[in-house]
Amino acid sequence: MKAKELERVRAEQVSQAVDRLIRDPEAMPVPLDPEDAGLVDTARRLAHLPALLGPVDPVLERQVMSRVQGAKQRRKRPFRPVWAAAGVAAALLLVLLITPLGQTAIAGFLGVFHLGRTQVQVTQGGTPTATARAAVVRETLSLEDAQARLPFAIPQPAYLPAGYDLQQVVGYTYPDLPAWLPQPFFVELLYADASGASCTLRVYPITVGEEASIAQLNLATTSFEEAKEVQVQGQPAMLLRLGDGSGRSAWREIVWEYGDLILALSASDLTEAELLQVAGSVQ
Amino acid sequence: MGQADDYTDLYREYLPRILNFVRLRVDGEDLAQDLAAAVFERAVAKQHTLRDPAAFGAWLFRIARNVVAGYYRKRRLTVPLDHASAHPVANPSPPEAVMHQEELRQVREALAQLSEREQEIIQLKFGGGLGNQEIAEVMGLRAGHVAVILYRALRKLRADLEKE
Repeated sequence: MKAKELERVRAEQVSQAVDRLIRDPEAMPVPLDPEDAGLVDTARRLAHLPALLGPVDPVLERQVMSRVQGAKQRRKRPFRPVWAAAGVAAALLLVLLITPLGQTAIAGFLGVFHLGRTQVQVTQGGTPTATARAAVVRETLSLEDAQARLPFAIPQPAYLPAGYDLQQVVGYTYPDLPAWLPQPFFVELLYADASGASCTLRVYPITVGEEASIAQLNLATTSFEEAKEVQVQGQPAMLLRLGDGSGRSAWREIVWEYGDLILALSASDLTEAELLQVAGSVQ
Repeated sequence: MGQADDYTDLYREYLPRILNFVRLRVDGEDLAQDLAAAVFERAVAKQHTLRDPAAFGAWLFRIARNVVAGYYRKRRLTVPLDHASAHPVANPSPPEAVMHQEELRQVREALAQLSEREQEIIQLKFGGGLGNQEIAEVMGLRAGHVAVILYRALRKLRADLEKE
């Protein structure tokens, strides 16, 4: 028998054995060519995939079956304008709850700031639990190593307060994100002086991989006093002032788009004017 | 063609199979659930295009393939990062070593080494529970060709998984 024909015959036999295993992962193997017997063990591992992946979330099942039943009902019922109006009203109410561009946010309100291609959503809540956070790996790198591993040029401020130097570069890798995502996903540059006063610049790519882009950066904080629109290098930016409720500001952070990047500059030891000056010098 | 009632049970039967196929095609449970829901949304909307009720499975999985392909063409990410300057992102506690999660990881890594077509056939076979003839209808191949691709993919997977 020619090799191709032999392969076809063996492939059919293995397929039958595989289908039997899928129906019953504990089924006894059927006799196969000794060379293919190991494939049955592999197929047995794969046949357990549904069990490994877990059951359907009851919420998803309800959602899907609700759609199925709803479609059946719609085939029987004519269009009801009053339901459409109620749906639109509910959607508008949701939109109004979101703070529009430029409006000062008060602690506890949800704020969305449009920077251009992206937007920043500011939320206030308790400190996220470990289970709520994505798994992250922080890695200290030299600036050269970080630059070599990243698909974008790392910008840096041309102006820094007296005594500030680049102290550390940290790459953040998220192992649970899709494999096609270039990692480290973003880098953080820490600048500080001898007294420990510091500022931090985080650099995120807007475009990731070949077909994806960041649409929104979620800024979560336990307390903030003010969020407002500012400008950095002629670009819309968001300035966030974080506080502890006492009226003394703890941190300031500016987020803006710089070419194909999102930059977030934060510090507790700089005034708003100084922070804006540093941000404006980034190149 | 049967009434919509006839398909309710089929939709319910195929939901876990569609979900598992999508889970193997994308990363992240939330995304998989969103895409699976989208598959059924589209199926319900296009139910009138189903000519042969006996081909429901292949028809539904063709929709699932298209939904996943559409996602990969137009994806945009919402960065789900806790970025609070006053609370620097802490190192997470090491993930609990759960045997079945490790097994799933090994299988996913091995699958990622296959060609796109080999991956899809494995995902339709083991995630979706489809026979070779159904896979052939979904992917526009001959059943015999599906068997050969499956055979070759299993050989590659065996070699990879035995290394672990």
